[in-house]
Amino acid sequence: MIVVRHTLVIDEPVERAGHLWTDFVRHEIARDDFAADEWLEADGLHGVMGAGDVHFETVSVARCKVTLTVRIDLPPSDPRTGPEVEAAYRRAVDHLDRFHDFVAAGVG
Amino acid sequence: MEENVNAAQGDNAEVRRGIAGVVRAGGDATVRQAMTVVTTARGGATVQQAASMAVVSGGDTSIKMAGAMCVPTLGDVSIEQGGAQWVVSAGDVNIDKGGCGVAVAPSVRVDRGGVGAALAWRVDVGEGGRVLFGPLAAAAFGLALGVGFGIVTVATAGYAATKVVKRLPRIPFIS
Repeated sequence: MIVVRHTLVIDEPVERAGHLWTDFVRHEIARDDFAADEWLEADGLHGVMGAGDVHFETVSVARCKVTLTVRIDLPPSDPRTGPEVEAAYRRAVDHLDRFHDFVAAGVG
Repeated sequence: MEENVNAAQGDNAEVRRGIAGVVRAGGDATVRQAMTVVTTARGGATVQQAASMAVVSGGDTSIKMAGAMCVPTLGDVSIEQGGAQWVVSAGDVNIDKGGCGVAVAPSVRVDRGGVGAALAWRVDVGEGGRVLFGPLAAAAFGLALGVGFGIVTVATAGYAATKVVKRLPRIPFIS
């Protein structure tokens, strides 16, 4: 099993991070250019998590660490695995960057 | 050069700022700012700002700002700002700001580093981590195998040649 992981720290307490993430998912799905991927899938009216996981961890009272992981179901010997790992990592970085901007903008 | 460092059963061994051939510890082995050929420990092994050809341990192995060629261990392996050519571990392998040619373990986690070929049930690629897959991994595996075999062959041949030359005292240019 291959797992791609990316982490960033946001200036919000861990108690609020889960709610902010839910709001972020709703916000992403509501976008006109929304495209389903590992983390965000349109399931009727609700956004659900796909093969990825999000994990929140306390850094301090006012800050928390957000870790996004996705499982890649390709065997290591497959020539497509390397490029897919790179692409999944880039998508993870993009997702978390957007989440960071979302939190910083105070949309939630 | 210290030829060998032996510690009794259950005792720890430490080599600090020196060169040693074989370090054997009944407990933990620590090599700091030193070079050793082989480091073996029944417990854990720590190689810090040092180099060792082989680090064999029955516990956890930590390689910090250090290098090793072959690291077979029964515990976890942690490589921080260091490198190893071969890591074969019964526990997890964690690489942070380091590199490894081939890692064979149940789980391999890479942050800010690279692994040529990871043979593991779980390969975790984190920030700045790079693991080769597919044909590139096969090439890295072959390269590591070739280089390792070459180094062992050269070392063995050198040792054998030294022994042979020592048995020829009449050759004038050998003192």
